Amino acid sequence: MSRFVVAILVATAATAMMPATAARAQSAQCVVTEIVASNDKKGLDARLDRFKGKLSRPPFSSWDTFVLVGEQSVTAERLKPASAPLTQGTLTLLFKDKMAAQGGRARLRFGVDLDNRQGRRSVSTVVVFDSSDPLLIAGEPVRGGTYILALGCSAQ
Amino acid sequence: MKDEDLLRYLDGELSPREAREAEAAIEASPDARRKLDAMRQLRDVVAARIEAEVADAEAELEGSWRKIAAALPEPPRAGVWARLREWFDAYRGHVLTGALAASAGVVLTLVLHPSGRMAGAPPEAAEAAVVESLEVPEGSGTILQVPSDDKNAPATTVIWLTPGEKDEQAEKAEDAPI
Repeated sequence: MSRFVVAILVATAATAMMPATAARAQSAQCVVTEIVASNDKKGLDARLDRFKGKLSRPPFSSWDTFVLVGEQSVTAERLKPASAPLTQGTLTLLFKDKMAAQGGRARLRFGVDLDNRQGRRSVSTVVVFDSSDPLLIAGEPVRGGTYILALGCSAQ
Repeated sequence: MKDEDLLRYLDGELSPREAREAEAAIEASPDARRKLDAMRQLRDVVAARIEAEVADAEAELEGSWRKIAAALPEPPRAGVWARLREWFDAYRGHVLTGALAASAGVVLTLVLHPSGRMAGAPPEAAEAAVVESLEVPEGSGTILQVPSDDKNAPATTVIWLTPGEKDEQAEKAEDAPI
């Protein structure tokens, strides 16, 4: 067996053990959910049932009413800002990268900017999160309650 | 007849003609016959003695060899490691070339995909969101982790905003319906 063939075999075996790298996704699909929390004794909006587990725990357990005030899908092209109008301002997403797949999930890096209705920047953050779990931004007071923004994204 | 000639006749060292002459002389002389018989017996005794000595020496030598062989250490048996070393010595160049190529592949892959996961490794548990940077220009922000009902699911990350006074006043002034 020639040295060249042995080298190819060893290199091939090593390459097969290399990290399963995620294909570089060019876009991500996000679902932006707007919620207002209050103590109006109306319970959880049926459309928010998927958030029941999270909204029943602190710090959200301080409220007994959660109302869905808006929900939309946003497609974010990689490295291109994507804006979405909200009931309380504007959301700007910047899909930065899709990281290595873990446990069948994708790890996404996003830049998230939230501006209020006056056009002032409320928050600017860079977050890395799993495609299956939403990020929550909460705390801003709105009329009749507290504003909660849920952001969940996935990329193929 | 001389004793020397008798010995040579006994040992078969005479030529055929001399042997015939010696036989005639022995036949004619009773004294020569006695001497020849005595010489033959002595020769046989000596030969038997020599054979016995040789046999004893061989037996003794064999015993000595057995003792020496028993005292010698056993030669090392060729184990797996020794065979591997022999194989490596024979293919040293091939193995090193292959290892070098594999190392280059590993380095290249890690450089190109630093966050990759090894194929075949067990799937890693899902992780909570990581906030790499956070700016709240008109207030402050706190990062919270809300545990999930499912023990295997990651905690949910919450960015909790606490507006500053200016922001709260603006909100009151707006007091706009949702």
